[in-house]
Amino acid sequence: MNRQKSSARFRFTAASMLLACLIFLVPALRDGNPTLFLLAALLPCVMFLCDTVVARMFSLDRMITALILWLCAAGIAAYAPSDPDATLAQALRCGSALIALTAGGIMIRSLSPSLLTSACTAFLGLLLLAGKLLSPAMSLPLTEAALALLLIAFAALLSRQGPVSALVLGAAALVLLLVRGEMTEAVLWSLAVLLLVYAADGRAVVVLPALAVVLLLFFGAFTLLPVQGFPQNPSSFSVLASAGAVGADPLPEGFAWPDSVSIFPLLAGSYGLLLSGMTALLFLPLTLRGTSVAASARTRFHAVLAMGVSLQLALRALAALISVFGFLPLSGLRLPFLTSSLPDLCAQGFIAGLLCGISGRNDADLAEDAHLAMLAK
Amino acid sequence: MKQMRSRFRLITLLLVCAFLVVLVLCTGSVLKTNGVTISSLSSLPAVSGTASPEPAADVETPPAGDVPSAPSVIPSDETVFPETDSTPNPEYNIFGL
Repeated sequence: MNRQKSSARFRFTAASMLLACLIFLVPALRDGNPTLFLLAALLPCVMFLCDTVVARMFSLDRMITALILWLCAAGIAAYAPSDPDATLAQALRCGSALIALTAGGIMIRSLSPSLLTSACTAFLGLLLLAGKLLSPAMSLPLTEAALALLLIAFAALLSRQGPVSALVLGAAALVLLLVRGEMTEAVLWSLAVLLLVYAADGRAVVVLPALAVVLLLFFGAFTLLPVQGFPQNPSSFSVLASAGAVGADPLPEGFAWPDSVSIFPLLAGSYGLLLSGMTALLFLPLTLRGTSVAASARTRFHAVLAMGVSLQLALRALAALISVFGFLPLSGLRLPFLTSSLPDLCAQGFIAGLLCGISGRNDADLAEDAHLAMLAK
Repeated sequence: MKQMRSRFRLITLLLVCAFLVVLVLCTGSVLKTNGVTISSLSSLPAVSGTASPEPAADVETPPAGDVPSAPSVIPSDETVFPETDSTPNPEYNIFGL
């Protein structure tokens, strides 16, 4: 059985490497650009190394790692037909995200739901969120990094101290997001908080007041703060659809690049809605795997943290897809790992690393149980 | 922990349903943008050559057949005339045929 599993995994890895090679080899042969040839050779090797050696060495979840590698590869490939230099820059950014993923996987082993952990991560997260308010000149997008730290603090408080302290932290983060004017982030954060409180506690006496507090904060933000609706989506879906099923060369007019941070429209323009749709579908198995890791976790802290990470990734992906296809007039939403913002990529890699590490810990617990069962016999 | 796991499964189910709904909506949006509608999918290619006479024929024949249907919608309202003149068309238009 293990042999069959490993041979199937080997075939899947080999197929992934071949596909990754072809995605860069075809534009490389067409344009003759040495950078693309380099990427066609390097990218499959890096994918293979990360999915086999690194994942095994640091006990990371192979499936989640493979899915994230594929998303990063799609993001890199989006630039390949039009701008090879930007392709290399994106490849380096994704490399940083993978380092952050590994760091997250290592860090979760030593992370415990103590009061010190909660205090430190909560303080850092709130400081990063308040940083823009204290120093308006700061333009570095640190929201996702702050939310990653706050998620750890929230999970620690919810699992050890109870829902009240966790909700206080959640409300503080929500207030800062609303004051900063990041409405979409505020909505996603409040949804994640409410679902986590419901999952961890479930009592109506806790969930309903939490919902009331969230609604009150949003009402207060709309009433007291300067008029700040949701940012409008500048590009319409019709522009995206003009690329067709297999992409257009050159890119149709209206595609906002290279200044745009979101890569999904560029991916759709270069390779068509078919491939970009399949890339977006990768978030479904990622979510399913994340929630199954959460359900298999042995401790409340790991379970809540894993579910929080899965919710962050899933809700963000859903909101980004809805806004890209024009069902919501929102802007600034980017699919996880399909962004050219380095801080966001690293933050997403870090929280995915936490998820991978929790999965690795689950496997270690299962192995220990099997060992103990064998000894008991 | 057991109750928490069952709530996790419920949240997972909600997320999967949300993904499927978004998938259906996005696919529909893409098809609609490319001019693919339910009417174009349901009509056969051969019918498109004979489609034009059919409405004409139906326009000629409908009054007898469709007068009963028009009153069933709005009994005695003459403002329906623009529809009764092409009485079959609203019905066909409703169903996209």
